[in-house]
This record gives sequence, structure tokens and C-alpha cells, in this order.
Amino acid sequence: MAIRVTQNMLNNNMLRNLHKSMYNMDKMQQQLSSGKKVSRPSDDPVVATRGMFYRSSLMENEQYQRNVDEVLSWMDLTDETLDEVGSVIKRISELLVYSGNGALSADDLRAMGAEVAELKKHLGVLANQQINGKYIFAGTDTDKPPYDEAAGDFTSTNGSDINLEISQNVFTAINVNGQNIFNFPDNANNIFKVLDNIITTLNSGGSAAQFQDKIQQQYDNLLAERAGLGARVNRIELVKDRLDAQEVNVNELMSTNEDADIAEVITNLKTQESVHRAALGAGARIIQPSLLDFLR
Amino acid sequence: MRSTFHGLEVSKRGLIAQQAALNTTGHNIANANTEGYTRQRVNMVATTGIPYVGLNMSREAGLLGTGVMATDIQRLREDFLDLQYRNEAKREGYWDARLETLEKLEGIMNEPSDTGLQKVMDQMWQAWQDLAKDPTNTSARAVVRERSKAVADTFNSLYNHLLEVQRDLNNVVGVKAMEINSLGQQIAALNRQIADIVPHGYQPNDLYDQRDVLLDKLSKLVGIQVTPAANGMVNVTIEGQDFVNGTQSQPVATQQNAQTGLLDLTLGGATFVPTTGYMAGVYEARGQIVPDLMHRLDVLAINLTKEINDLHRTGVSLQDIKNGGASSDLPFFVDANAPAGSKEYPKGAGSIAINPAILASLDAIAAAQPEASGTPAGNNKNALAIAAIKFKVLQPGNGPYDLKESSTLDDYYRYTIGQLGIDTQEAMRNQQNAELIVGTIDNQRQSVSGVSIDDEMADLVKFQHAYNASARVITSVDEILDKIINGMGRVGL
Repeated sequence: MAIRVTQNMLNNNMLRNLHKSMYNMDKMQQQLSSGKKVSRPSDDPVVATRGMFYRSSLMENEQYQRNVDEVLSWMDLTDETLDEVGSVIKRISELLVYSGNGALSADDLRAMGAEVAELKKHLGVLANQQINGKYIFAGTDTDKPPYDEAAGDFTSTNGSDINLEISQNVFTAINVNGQNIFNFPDNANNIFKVLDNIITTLNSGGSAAQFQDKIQQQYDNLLAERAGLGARVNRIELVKDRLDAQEVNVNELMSTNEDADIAEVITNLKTQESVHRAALGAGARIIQPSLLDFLR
Repeated sequence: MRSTFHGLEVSKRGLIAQQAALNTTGHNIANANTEGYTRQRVNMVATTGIPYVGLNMSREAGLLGTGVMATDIQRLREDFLDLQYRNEAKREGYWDARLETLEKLEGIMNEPSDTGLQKVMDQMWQAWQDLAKDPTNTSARAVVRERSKAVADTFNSLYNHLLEVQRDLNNVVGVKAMEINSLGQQIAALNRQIADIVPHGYQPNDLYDQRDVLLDKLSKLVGIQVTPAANGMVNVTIEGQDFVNGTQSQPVATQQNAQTGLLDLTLGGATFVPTTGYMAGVYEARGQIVPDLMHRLDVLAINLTKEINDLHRTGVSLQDIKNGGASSDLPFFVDANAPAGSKEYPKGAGSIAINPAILASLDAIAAAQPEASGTPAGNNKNALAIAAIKFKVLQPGNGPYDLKESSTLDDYYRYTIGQLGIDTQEAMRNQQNAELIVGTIDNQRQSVSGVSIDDEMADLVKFQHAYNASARVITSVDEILDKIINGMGRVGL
């Protein structure tokens, strides 16, 4: 039997196809307006879960970058402080050489002693350097000043590192161990004790030239610490560069993963539009006439 | 000897038969857009010729035709297509229900997005990292607390949304049960009307059509089997259980299950568990799809809070440092329903709360790990350790809330969303296929039973011509009779 086609079949078929075509257009419109290939997991589960992963990675990366910035600001401040400590020690060492000059009177030496005392006070201020209210040379005891002004000595014994995560499972200390600088080589012989001795000697009118070795020793140690810090800053900056590059990378991956190819979508939309037009046109032709129109 | 008036009777029969056909054509056209209407056709048969055969029959040449009669009005329908349609409709109904639920769940989970659970968790880990940078900073602590609260709130709200979906689905079961009930009663009522008419030798075509429409609707909801019975009635069974038997229909009722709190169906008093059709889809969505997702959320919430709590309890807070340095063993998250001061961990995604001690004071957050010689305030080791949970690979276990495969919490959540996406995709594909098949079968049915205006117009012309011609024959016979009566025997007049 030949297939019998009725008006209702035509109607139903056309409506079904029109709906399908509208649905396709809607999908493409959605892609165009959101710029994304997928808007819900069922559009493409793989793309969707990967998208979640990339988003998460981006946030991790952002956090690591923030951590690195924090690390760098600590280190920069530490480096500047150590630079100043170096100048102080250099000035002291100059004074020591000068004090060896036999032509100096006891008053001159006492004046020199007063200057050294000021320099020591300044060194104390430097040892109590703060960042955001936290003492940077106090190890993890960040809320207590490591240098006791009243006692005139570096009393902190905390040499712990403060670690931050700068990449997954990569931790770096953001601080320099204050013990290695201000309690070198040990608390009994640290720079403040040496300065105390120098001040006493100078105040009693004697030459303090014999302390030159000890001061030189402190200076060498300081340089070694600064070199170590510099090397660490270099490493952190490398990490920072890598994090920046990674951010661009992940963004790009995320974009290729889930962003709609606008040119392609527009082309598809145009094609779909012509299909839709054709369907509507054909519908208008098919639905309209029946035998009724030709019987008079 | 044939009657002089024979021609009049033949043509009258023609007029009556053609008129019946014309009227039926009109009926078809009038019902061209009626749902479930089947086109009808008048079957015509030539009446018995004369003379009748018998011993004293006249011996004339030829058996003379006596005209036409309409024997019955037939419904043009293919029962086999109905069977196919109902088989596929239950599949379409099933996938419809599943798809509706899964799409709702996708909307609730709202991933991938910048506002879903993933983002909230990521922000919490960030907050712990920021606290590690500055463990004594009150604002960093506040951020940790607020971000953690956001995680707890998100879990709670997701869980409650899912509960709501489940409740909705449960209501749907009740509503659809009533619908099935009403369909059954209507079918039984139609059976009665049909059984009243059929014994008189008539075909209640339009009642059949109405009943078929009801059966189609019913077949979407549950898997049914239709068997013909006496006097044009049908019996309907739902998955083997009696539903409509002649003029009686068994009631479908709902009963709240004391254990699950969900509605159970009974059919004629016996327990009834649908396995196909929309009803089965709703049943599965309510009893399986939604609870599964809730369970996965529970697993995620319980493991996440347990990991954080275990670490947090070993840590020391600023308060602890002030009070001598011993850890006060505070869990970060507690069960919302536990009594105040309890250290009970959250029992599910719906009952996560921040420890009231932490809500009371930010200094109760333990960012440090204890050191033997007194913990300094700047110790950030616990904050770092908690932030690292994000990457911790959890080991699988056999407990009800253990992970089944070793993965990180993030992986587990992504897997959950992926699974949801795949399930939805499958439902979508199957639903589209079922819809297409149902559409095809319906088209075939339309091809057989649908009213075609062209057909009807052609028929109209055909029957009209036959009617006109019959009338013309009567005129001819009239002229002949006129000749006989008024013109004969008047030779020469």
C-alpha cells in the first residue's frame, strides 16, 4: 500500500522539525551569548569537569602568586635592613681604625664611644624591624621584639623559619634567621656584646682597635647571609616568573577547552537559520492548499 | 414478472446509501483535528438480486440487481500500531521523568561556574593560605571563618535543595497516582457504555476512539497490557496486576512508608512497584538518583570536615598560646544538631556548622602547631597543613562514608559532577530516541487512521455524484411511468 499522508502528519512533522531547528538555534544562541561551548555538565561532561579543574588551578595559581609577593616583600625589606646593618658595621669599623690613632685625646675617644653607643641603638632598631606589625628577625615569635632595648641585647632565641607554600608542596622560608645575624657566633659573643665592650673601652679612654677582627668577622658573616638571601630571592623570582607563565597557560587551556569558536558558531547559526527559513517556507507551501482549494 | 416500480426502490436505496456515505464524510471532516479520532468508512454491499431462488420462482432471464445497502460504518485502525505505540510510550515516559530530574539537579549543582561549590571550597583553601602568611592577623582569621561558613552554607543549601526535589518528586507520585486512578475509572465507564451498545449490533466507533486516547495516556505513565473482552470491552493490567476488568477498575492509592517517609503505591490493595513508564522514572529519581547525589555530597562533606577537624584539633590557637600553649582540641566544624559544646563531627552535608567557640572568638582558630618550648604566635604550620588538604589523596575504605577509590576531595567532587553530566546525557539521548520512535509510530498510525482533507473531498465529490445520479434515475423512472400511465392506450387520440 502506498503511504497515505494526511494533513495532520504534515503538520506534526513540520512542527517537530521546526521545534528541533529552534532548539538547535537556541543552543547556538546560548553559545554566542555566553561565549562558552558548555553551560551544563551534560553538554559535555569531559569539558565541564576539565573546566572545573582549570578554574581550581587558576585560583591556586592566584594564591601562590599572592604568597610569592608576600615572600618577596619580606625578603626585600630584610635585604634593605641588612644593607643598613652593613653600613652601621662599616662605620663602626672605621671608628675602630680611627681610635687606634695615638694622637686622639681621651675626650675624643669618649665622643667616639658616644657615637658607637648611638650606632648600637640604631642596630637595635634595625633588629626590631617590622613588616605589618610583625618582627622579621624574631623567627616565629613575630609578636615579641627580639631586641630588648632595656637590656641592650638580642634576647630572642627563636630561629624558626616561617614557611609559605609558593607552588604545590614547595615551601620556602620567608624570613632570615635572626639568630644567624644578631646572635653570631653565639649569644655571649654577639655583635651587641662586642659593641658593649667597644663602648666600655672607648669610654675608659682606651683604643678599641683590637676589636677590628671581631667586627670584621661580624661583617663577613653578614655578607654571607645576604648572599644566601640574594640567592633565595633569585629562586623566588624564578618561581614568580613560572607562576605568571602558568597563569597564561592555564587561561589558554581553559579557553581552548570551553570557549566557543565564535566564527564556527556564527557559521553554524547562519546555516541553521537558512534551514529554518526553508522549513518555514516549505511549511507554508505544504500546509496551505488542499483539494478544497481547487474544487468549485 | 418484475415490478413496474422496481427502479424507484433501487434508486431510493442508492440515495439512502450515498447519503449515509456523505454524512460520514462530513463527520470525518468535522473531526479532522479531534485528538485520537479515527476516520470512518461506510461499507456498502449490493442487495440480493431477484428473483429469489425457489421452486416457483419466475423463469426470467437474469438475476436483476436490487440496489445497495450500507452494512456498517467501519473504523480504519491498525491494532498492532496501538500495541507498538503503547510499548514505546512507556519508555518515553520513563526517560522523560529521569531527564526532568537530572536537569533539575544539574541546575542545582551549578557547575562549572564561578558560584558553585568548587569555587567556594577553593576560596576556603585560599583563606587558609592567607592565614599562613599572617597567622596573628585578625582579618585573615575572619576571612578563614567566613569562607568556611560559606562552604558550610553551600553544602547545607545544596543538600536542602536536593531534599526539596525529592519531596517534589514524592508529590508527583501522589498526583500521578490520582491521574492513573481517574484514567482507569474513565476507561471502565467507557467500557460500560460500549457494552451497552455492542450487543445491538452497532459499532460505537467514537467511544472506541475515546478509550484509545485514554489508553495511550495511561501507557505513558505505566506499562500496561490491553486484552479485548466480551461486548467490545477491554481489560487492562498494569505490569501483570489487574487494573481495569470490564466495567470495574481497581483503585490506585498511595500510602506513606513509615521507614522512608515516601509514598508507596498500592493497586487494588496490593503493593505495586512500577518498573516502566513515567511513574517508574519518578520512582527511581526519588529513590535513587537524588539520594545517590545526596550521599555523594554527604561523603564529600564528612571527609572534608573530618580532615580539617583532625588537623585543627592538634593545633594551638592564639587563645591556647595565651593560656599556656596546650591545644584545646577544638574541631573546626561540628554537627549542627549536636548539643552545645559537643565535639561531634558533622554527620552529613545538611548539618555542617562552624564550632560556636570559633564563632565566639576568632582567636580560637588554631593556625599553629604546638612546639615543645612554648608555641610562638607566628607559627603557621597548622594553617599550612590545613591548606594542603586540598591536594591530599584520601585513602579508600569500607565504611559507608569512606571514599571508594583513592582520590583528592576535589577529584571526588569533579567525578560527581562528571557522573551527573554523563547520566543526564544518557537520559537526553534515550529520551530523544524514544520520542523519535513514538513520533514515527504515531505517524504510521496517522497514515492509517488520520483524516485527509483531500481524501474526504474526493469522496465527497464521488458520493455527491452517485447521489445525484440516483436522483436522476428516479426522474427517468418517473418519465417511464408517466408514459405508461398517461400516454398508453390512446391510439388515435
